Amino acid sequence: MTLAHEALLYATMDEFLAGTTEFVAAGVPTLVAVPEPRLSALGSSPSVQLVDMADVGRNPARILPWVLCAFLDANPGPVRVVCETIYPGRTEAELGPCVQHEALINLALAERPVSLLCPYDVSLLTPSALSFAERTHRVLVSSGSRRPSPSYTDPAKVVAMVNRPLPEPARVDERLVFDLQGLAGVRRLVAEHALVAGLVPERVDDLQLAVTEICTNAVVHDGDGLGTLRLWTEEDLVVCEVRGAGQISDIMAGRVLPSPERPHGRGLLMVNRLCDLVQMHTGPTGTRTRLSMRLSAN
Amino acid sequence: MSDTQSDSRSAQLVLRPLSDQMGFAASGEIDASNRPVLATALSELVSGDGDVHLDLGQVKFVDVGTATLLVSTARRLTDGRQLLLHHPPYELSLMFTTLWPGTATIETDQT
Repeated sequence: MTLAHEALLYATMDEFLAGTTEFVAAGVPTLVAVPEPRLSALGSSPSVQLVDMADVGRNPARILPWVLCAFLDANPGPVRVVCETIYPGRTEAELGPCVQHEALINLALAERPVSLLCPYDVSLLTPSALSFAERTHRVLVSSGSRRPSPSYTDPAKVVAMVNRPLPEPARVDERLVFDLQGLAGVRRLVAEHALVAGLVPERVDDLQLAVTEICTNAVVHDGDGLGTLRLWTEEDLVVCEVRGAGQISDIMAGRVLPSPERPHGRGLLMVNRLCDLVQMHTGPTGTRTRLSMRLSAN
Repeated sequence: MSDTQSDSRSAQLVLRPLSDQMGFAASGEIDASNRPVLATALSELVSGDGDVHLDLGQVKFVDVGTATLLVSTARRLTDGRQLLLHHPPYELSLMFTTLWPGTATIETDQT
């Protein structure tokens, strides 16, 4: 058995329950990662693990390594997952990373014995979000019937479609040009900015580590050894943006744990674990990575 | 908006030999700018005898590359020799358990 990755198109709670209840009652180890109120609507059973997608999956790049692969590794053998990544309430900024995540599932889990059902609320999600559901799932399920998706697209092409320039912020509070020797200065500036914004000290530590990882990548791999850091706040978010000269060619970077003896490939995994949102735009002229922390999250 | 030039205050790392064990007490911050210093010091200890001790109680920051260096150092020790970390920062323990799950190559303690 290998990956099955299907989209469940529902418009009401009844349709959601009709499409998922039987799926989770198969008796095999099952993970349900959906937001409220649907999480509470699905009854629990010994073989079902329930997690709130709005919490564990608030950073879409976190879901693959730290939710899905973690569950698969803990449960060898066939498993099922209900995974509502793109739910009403996702912000515009989160949508691109969500689509990227849905596409990368098709590569990362291709040989794993997992059946994934991804609910999409067709009454509230945008036409754009729903069109990507058809590009990232081979099978669409609605009203009890299954049909092949007419527009399933190669995952690398989907990733390229959402690799878009990031919108400019309304205001930037700090800007710092740094080199390898300036990583400590980067951390100090990030801490000052985040503490003033109101981020709790433990998460300031997390943000310092995450920004250090991205800044290290920006100055050691390619280009002139210089990176640019920009810091600002918007609504509930502290945002740190790092620009470096290199292009990221590995679309799976930060999504799958490397084998223990491999010396590279863990920095971005840690970043994805710690941050509330990771946005990236990469191309021949460089890479811009935007890390956000929610002031209201723990 | 303030526009700041590259900070000249780079990460400071001090390694002091332990008086009663083979190893160092480290203090400061460890990142890609000064990690080679630690790598060289650890290499010299690996080529010696006995367990290797590293007291990290005064270390304020470590990055993922530092965790990788410590894992690879531990793997280079043979014949029952161990890398023993004393007072590892919380972030380092988190990196070991999440990024190298199920591979207990490093002994850590709080003493």
